[in-house]
Amino acid sequence: MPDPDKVSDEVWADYVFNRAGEPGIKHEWWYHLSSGTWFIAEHDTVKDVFIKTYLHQDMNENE
Amino acid sequence: MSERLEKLHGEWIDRSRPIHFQFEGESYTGYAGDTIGSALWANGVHVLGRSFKYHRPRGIFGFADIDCNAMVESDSATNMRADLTPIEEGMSVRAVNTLGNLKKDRLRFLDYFGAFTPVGFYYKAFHTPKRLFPFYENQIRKIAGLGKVDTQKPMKSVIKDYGFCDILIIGSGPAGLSAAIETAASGAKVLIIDENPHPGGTLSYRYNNQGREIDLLNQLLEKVKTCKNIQLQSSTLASGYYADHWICLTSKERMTKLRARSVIVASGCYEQPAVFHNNDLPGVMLASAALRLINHYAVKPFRHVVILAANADGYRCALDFHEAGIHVVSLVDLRREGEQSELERQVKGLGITVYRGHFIYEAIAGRMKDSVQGVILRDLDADIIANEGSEIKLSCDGVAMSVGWTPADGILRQGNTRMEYDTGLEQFLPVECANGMFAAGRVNGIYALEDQLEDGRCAGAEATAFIGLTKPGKSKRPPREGSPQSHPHPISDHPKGKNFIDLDEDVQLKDIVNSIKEGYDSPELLKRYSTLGMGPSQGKHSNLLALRMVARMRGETMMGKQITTARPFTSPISMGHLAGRIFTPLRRTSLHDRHEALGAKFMYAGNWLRPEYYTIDGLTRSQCIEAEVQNVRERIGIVDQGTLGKIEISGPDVVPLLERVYTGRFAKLKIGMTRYGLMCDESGVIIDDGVISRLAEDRYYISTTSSGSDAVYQALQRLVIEWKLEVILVNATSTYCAMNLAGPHARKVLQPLTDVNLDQNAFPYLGIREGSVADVPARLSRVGFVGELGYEIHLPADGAIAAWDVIMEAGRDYGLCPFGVEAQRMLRLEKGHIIVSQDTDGLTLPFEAGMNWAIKMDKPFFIGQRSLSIVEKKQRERILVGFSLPENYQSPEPKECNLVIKNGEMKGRITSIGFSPTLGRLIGLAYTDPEDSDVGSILRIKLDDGSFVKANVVKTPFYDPENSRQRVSE
Repeated sequence: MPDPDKVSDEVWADYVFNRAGEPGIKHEWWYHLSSGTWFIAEHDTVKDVFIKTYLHQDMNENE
Repeated sequence: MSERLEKLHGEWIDRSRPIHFQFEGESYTGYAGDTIGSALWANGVHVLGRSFKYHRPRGIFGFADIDCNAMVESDSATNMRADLTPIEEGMSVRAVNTLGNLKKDRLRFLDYFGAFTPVGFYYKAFHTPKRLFPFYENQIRKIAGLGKVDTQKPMKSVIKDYGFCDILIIGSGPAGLSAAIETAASGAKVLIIDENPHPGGTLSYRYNNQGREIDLLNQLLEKVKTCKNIQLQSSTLASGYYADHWICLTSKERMTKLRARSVIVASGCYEQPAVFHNNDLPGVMLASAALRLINHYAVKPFRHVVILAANADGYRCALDFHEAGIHVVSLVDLRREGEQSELERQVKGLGITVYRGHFIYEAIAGRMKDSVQGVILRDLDADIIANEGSEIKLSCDGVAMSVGWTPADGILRQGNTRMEYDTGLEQFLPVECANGMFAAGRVNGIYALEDQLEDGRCAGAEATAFIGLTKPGKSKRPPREGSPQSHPHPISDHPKGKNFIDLDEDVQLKDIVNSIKEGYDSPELLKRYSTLGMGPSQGKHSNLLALRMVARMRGETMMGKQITTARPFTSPISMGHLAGRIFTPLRRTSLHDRHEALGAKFMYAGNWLRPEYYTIDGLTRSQCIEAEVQNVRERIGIVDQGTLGKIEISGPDVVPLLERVYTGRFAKLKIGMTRYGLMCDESGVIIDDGVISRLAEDRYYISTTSSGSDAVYQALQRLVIEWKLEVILVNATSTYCAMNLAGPHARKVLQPLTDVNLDQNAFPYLGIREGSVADVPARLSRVGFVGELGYEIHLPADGAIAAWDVIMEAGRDYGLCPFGVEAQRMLRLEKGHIIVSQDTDGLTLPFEAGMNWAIKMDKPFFIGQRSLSIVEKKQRERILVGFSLPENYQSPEPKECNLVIKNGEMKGRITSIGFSPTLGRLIGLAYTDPEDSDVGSILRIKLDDGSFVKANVVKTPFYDPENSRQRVSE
């Protein structure tokens, strides 16, 4: 998220409304309903393959 | 006339159990294990259906779910494949898509009009004038099409379940069974499925008379039976492949969503037809269909047959047919060089004439086009076009085609397997399988039996290694070699046409040629324009042929050509397999039984079942609701609010979390007090609201809307993670029940039941206290939603009924009555309170809904703040206002979503409306042009019938604007 106090209206609007949709490796937020757990899934949207999954707190060691 | 053969080793029918059934009103007898098609064929009935467009008689063609020649319906089901559907005692079926009956279909004249309905005819002829299209469409639908769906029939639900296995093997032919046996030692849990009622694949029907293959099948099945980890399930089709080896298995009465760790596809091949004039006559069939009829059902497919061959299989067929007592008239080989092997010598040895380098130019039809009387052969020149002149005429009553194969690769393709055309084998082959998916056997281009067994073993070993049960070894797959099993161009032109490429959709060769000439020369365009492959069998017998035509007409080779991937399902399945129970359990509050006993009329609110109102004998719905409203205003009412979202929040960082997700201020909220909270998304749109209660320094309790409870809880969880806050969230929606006791007598009723001091000074408006009600631990809060003195009582769900009973009893003398959702909606409407998602939509900003007071723009940060700071400066496009209609206004009553129109333009809509018994008139909320939002403005509302009604914009709240009622101290 850009710093809301510093960015211009245009940059903010771009952040809110535009998402980069080009295929590639995405870090997606997934929710496991049964256990109520959020986790990160590295998803290759070109091949539709999940590379790995981990908890957000373990993000640094996974990157 | 019985065409049944002597008992055969390995046949699928049980001759001790005759089955009686009716077809087109006539009675027939077959045996248990017969399909409708095999039983009819055994009875000499060869016309099983009429074609889609030209209503031509059709019989058994592929006999392997690759055509829809024989579609029948019964009183309980439609569009059944007669050739594959087992007969049942007393079954009565008739052909679909006929006018009158099958034999004398009054639409058969359409066959003669074929010349006037070229490809694209319907597109070209009927698109103008536009207003007539519904008429044309209706007429065309009556003529062309499949079975009718009877919407009056009771819904039959199909069992849905989930399955899991280590290795799923699709197909129980030689490769599939040998793969399974290979995996046995690893301990993997293996499931083999086969769409046929009996296992075996090609082993069950090919060259049976020599006895060798059926014996091998029995040996393999014996081995499988001894392996405890292997389960074999027949009559089950793998009908769809989804990510991570999630496979949809369908059988007659079940749909299983199966997760496998690895998949072996050993699904074999679909035999492909040849294209010549009248190649659709009953009696013309694929060689494999004839072999299945003989070996599975002991039915003679024909008496005098001409075999059209382009591979060794055709010669083997000749030997099998001869063995079964069928007179093989001739074998016509498309290949100029012929078979040149021992097989040819054997065939000739039986006295069968072999014509090399010849093609069937046409099949000669019987008088009603319902049979074959013979064939006309022509020889082929080098460019595989049938030459004129030198015609040979042969008499026969059947044609068996053995000219090529295409892999049954539906599941492979859906699983992103790369398939490429192999010019050596003249067919598509899997080149690169997706992770954990393996192909084996004929689908993998392996034709020799020994090689298929070896290929299966390799696939089994690869699969167990993939899932980590065995060490990866060196898997040496047998090579794909030998002469091509498929002919590159088994197509002949004929001036009279009726040489079908796609039998489902009656697409003839000339339709394909004309489509390509008109520029639809890619498989995707060709398919859509000519409807090729768009019938129920999804091009299983036609896509490859059409692709061959595309390549040929464009002067290209098949190298690099691709056919379209058929989406799930690989074979049509009934709607009952898809429709069914929703996997979302219906939710009932803990007080449900009490509501029922009180005569509640229930309504759905999201997944919840809530009392809409409580019925009273002799009163209408609106009279009941009005009475409930009045009772709250004048005496006392109680409403079940158990559906509210409820979340316990604690930890040192609760305040920062609340400050960032809600638009108001919470840092200074006193312990024991509550405050309204509004939630926006990043674009500033209202997404939820609720009440935030502070129970202790770092302990809060919040409520959310009923519909938003799960989403809000999940969003908070995620924000806690993202912002790295020390906060504990507990979703308490189902843990607690909630009810609101409201009305002038609320305090008097409740005080004797609770240890909480309800005195106005000790427990002010918007306060929250913890204590007990009727000896059940409870939280009481004073809220103003319905605009009377009221206490929201939250208590553990298992104590709810006990507390409810005590409260109802205590309130009896004060006139306590329960009220439902509708009365609550009116009570809050009178107070001008919005309901998020009823009075707001996916674009509503707080400024538009009159919620400015709840937005603290000077806070350091909240979600949506930055966006609101931008839109705040812009002109409003709409404003939510209160309106009322005159007291004496008579119907028609405006409804929710009726539009507010100004100068012919839509300016807004009614979001809430109802008759207020308190005010004696219709009141509501509506969006309108900001120019018309002042009190006294007039709104023009367009009613359902198109007429207009004028409403006055009035001040909200409509009722008790000073909020004096909810602060009464008595």
